Amino acid sequence: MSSKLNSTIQGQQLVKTETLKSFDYLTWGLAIALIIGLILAPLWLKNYGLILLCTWAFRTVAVQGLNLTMGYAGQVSLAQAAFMGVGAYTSTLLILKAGVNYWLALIIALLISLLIGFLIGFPALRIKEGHYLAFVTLGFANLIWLVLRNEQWLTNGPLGIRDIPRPSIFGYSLFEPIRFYYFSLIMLALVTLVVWFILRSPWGRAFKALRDNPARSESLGLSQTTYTLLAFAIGSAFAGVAGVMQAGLVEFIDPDSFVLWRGLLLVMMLVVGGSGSLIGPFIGAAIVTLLPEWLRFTGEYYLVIFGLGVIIVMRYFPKGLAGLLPFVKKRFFTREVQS
Amino acid sequence: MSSGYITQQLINGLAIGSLYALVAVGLSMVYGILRLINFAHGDLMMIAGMFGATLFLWLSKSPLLFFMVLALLAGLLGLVFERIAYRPLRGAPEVNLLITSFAVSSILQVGMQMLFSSSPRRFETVASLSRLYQIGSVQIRGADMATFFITLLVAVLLTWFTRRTRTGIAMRAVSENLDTSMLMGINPSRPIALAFFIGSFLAGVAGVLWGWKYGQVDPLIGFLPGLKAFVAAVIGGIGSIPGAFLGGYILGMAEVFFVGFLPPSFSGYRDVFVFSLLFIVLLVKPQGLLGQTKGRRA
Repeated sequence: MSSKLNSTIQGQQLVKTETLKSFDYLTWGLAIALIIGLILAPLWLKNYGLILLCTWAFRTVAVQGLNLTMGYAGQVSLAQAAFMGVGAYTSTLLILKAGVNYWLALIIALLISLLIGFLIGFPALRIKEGHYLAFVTLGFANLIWLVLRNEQWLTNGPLGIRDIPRPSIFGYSLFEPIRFYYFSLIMLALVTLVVWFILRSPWGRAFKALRDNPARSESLGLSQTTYTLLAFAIGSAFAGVAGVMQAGLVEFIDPDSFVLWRGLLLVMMLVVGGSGSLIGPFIGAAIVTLLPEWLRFTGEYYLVIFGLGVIIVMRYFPKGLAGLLPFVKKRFFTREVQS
Repeated sequence: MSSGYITQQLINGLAIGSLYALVAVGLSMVYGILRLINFAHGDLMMIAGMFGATLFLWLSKSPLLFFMVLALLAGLLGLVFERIAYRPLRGAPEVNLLITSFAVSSILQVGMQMLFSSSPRRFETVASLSRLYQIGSVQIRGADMATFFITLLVAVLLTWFTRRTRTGIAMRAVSENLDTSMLMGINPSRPIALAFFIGSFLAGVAGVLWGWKYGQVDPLIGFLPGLKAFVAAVIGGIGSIPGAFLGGYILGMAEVFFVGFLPPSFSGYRDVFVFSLLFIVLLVKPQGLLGQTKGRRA
């Protein structure tokens, strides 16, 4: 691979810089080490650690979906947790009450979240200015929570549903934590690949173009409404999948698991991790999932410390922690070249 | 269904609507300028309520002093958070503000739980406020009457302030178009801080009135009313102060009439109705009832 050349104007002079190859080696090396580490994790983690990593995996899936809506299409959705609820309840009820196969239930849950995403997004995204999607999803998140609580005949109300089965594939049960862990990991990998492909496809480029320069992109014939709607619906479908993963992991769902502030927590993971970047959701979900474990000694002060931490990140790293990467790249892995 | 019953419900709706309106004003003003959905706003109301439950004996001699101390406390807290949490984020993506307010909200809730424990606390009241006044065929509680007249006074003062004073006009200008108002020589920091102060002050007022109405407070009472007040502000037209009042009263009326005129089995759906109302208004009139469509800007 040839070295990347960039030119920037500093003062009066045109400065040409190149990114050092060591940067590519370092990032790829880190990524591969992390993937190998995740695959080998069961060697030294007990069940509790695996459950934490499964939690991290489904949260990352949900935040990755939110990343499509917020990071690339630039619209705020506060209902990502509600969509997880839609997915979790759809699949669970189909499996337990209608006896539907787990994988079929997963696909139906995905499609229903996608459909609801379209139904909500269509009226909400007609208006481009302002936070109309945020307002509408704020209402929707509350509605879903209230419906899950009120419709006791279907959802068992605030008590929730217990004993949710974990899947099996070709007669091979995924019940054991270690097996469910690999199932979560594979789902996470699949979703990441889908996002990767979406972002590299003409679609994804249209998303980015519309985010970065809406007027120019529209003049080139891209419909902002259509692409934003697509991003939101697909992002919501990811949340549905994450909900199914959560239901299988926890083996229990109740309305409070999908309440509005859980959706805010997902937005927080995205913003703290770095929205608009593929690795941001991984970082954000890891922080929100693992930090409570490391800060356990602080007891009831935990939320205060966590809140202060978020304020500090927002203040000093407005682009989230993933936003540090371009900075590190520029500061340590770039050198000027003589032209 | 007698006319007396309807009048009674109307009065209940006015009382609840006044509370929503008081909270909605601050949300609407702040959103109008910074486009921040302030999730911590309802918690300022809660803080005034919690301290009110604690300080009552100390201040029972003078309700007015009691009121002012608590409202000022909320107002100052609003100013402090504007200064340390929101102001440094000016120019950052709007969603960062939203997340910061969510963090502030959890700090306030947990802080109050640590300070006072999370169990509900009794909110003492004075005899003249807990009495029922009989007017014709309807009964009005003193606290509800106080709530209504205080809200009316606030509405009048705010209208005067935003229409007649230099600072108020500057505030509306900043809300209408931040960039242009800066070109006109307005330093936006003052109107923004002022919007936070006034809004938080009114949330504090609402906190005391809330305590008098319901008789008890706990560290989690702020979140849902804050949310509903935000819905009220959106219904009325976010960014518009008269809109916040209108939205607050519509929401209060809608709630009371929904519960009062439908069979009791429906009462669990009150909030479903409230949030559906939001959908309907956004669908029919996306800018809210009194909101203005801003001219398209490049």
